[in-house]
Amino acid sequence: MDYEKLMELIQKELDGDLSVDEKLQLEMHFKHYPADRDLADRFNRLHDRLIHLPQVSPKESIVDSIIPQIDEELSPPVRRISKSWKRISIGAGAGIAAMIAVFFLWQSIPIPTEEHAQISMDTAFEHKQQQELAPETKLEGKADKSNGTMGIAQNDHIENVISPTGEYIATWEQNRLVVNHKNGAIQFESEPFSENRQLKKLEWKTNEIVRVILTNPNPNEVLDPLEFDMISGTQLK
Amino acid sequence: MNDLALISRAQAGEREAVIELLRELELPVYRTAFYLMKNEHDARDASQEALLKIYRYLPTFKGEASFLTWVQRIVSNVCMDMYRKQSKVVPIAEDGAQLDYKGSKEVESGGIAIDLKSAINALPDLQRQAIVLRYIHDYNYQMIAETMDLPLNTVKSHLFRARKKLQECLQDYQDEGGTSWTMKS
Repeated sequence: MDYEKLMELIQKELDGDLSVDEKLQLEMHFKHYPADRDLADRFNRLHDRLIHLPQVSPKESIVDSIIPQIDEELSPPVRRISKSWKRISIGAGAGIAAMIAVFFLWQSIPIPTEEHAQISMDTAFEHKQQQELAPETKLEGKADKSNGTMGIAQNDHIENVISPTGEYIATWEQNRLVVNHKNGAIQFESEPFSENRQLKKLEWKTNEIVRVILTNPNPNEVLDPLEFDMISGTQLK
Repeated sequence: MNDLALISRAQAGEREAVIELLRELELPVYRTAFYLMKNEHDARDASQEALLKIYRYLPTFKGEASFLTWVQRIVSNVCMDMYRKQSKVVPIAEDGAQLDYKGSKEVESGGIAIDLKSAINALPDLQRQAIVLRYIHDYNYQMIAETMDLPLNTVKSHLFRARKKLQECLQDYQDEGGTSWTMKS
């Protein structure tokens, strides 16, 4: 029996994995080469020490230390209202108030036909302005399930975004994209983006490709989407 | 840990079930982290991170593997990621040629268990993981293979090589009267 085979049988014996034939083979070998029995004994001693390694316990509860974080994540996310969103809300509110005022004014005061037409046009213009602002608000906090992808877009609170088959979990941490495999291993980690880039939307294009949409400091200016392939670990565009 | 009802309740986001489940997992998670990481502090950090990931990834657990195997896979991966980021210790090379051990080839022993833990820490990642699952959790080859997501023979190979390296270390310890732990070079 060569050394490699001997080592294999000695180790299999430690794990109770020897077949009857292998056990006989090993015993025969030890009869002819008693020195090799010493080698087996040494492995037995190591095995015994490994079995008796201390079964340690944490000094303080680890679960207790993470309960506040779990509670925070279990409760529905409380979204902070950004300054830009406040400005948009105030603007939209003022616009609506102006529309109502114009409407009542139009109802109560007889208006010559031409002027009437002009006011109607102004109202329509204001309404159009509001509609143009609307996409900003539509993206906030809504799951996008179009094209079979999932996504959650929230400026202030990004939850884990799970890929369609549940294989990967994408999240936004410290201004970078981090994707973990469902077994907990880090699958992909991008370089941090510039501080003046804000995440607009994070979604799965396919099960392997995650799409990131960033904005400039001006929240209305959305940059071209970036796509990252989890298999090759590369940025596609 | 086969309480499927508890797992289901936790997956549904029931707070009490989540906490109870995590409390049941705390010890096995910490023990893995303790032997995979360099020190107690790192083990605690890794355990916190692993328990949070377990909680966050609970919805992805579909029952393909046993729950404990799934949990051990998460904690092992967390530890490996953290260890790689933090570690400045050069692991024992596959061929046994490079054996830089805490910057010294000889480390005074305060007890063989402590030195054995240090020697385990110096093993390559997969060998370390196989040893911890085998001896701290008493896993058989099949369970180790499931946890590490490796073929059975590869697991045996990692385990055998790890024991061979530890045996070489132990041999030197014994040869020198059990007072010091020498890493062969």
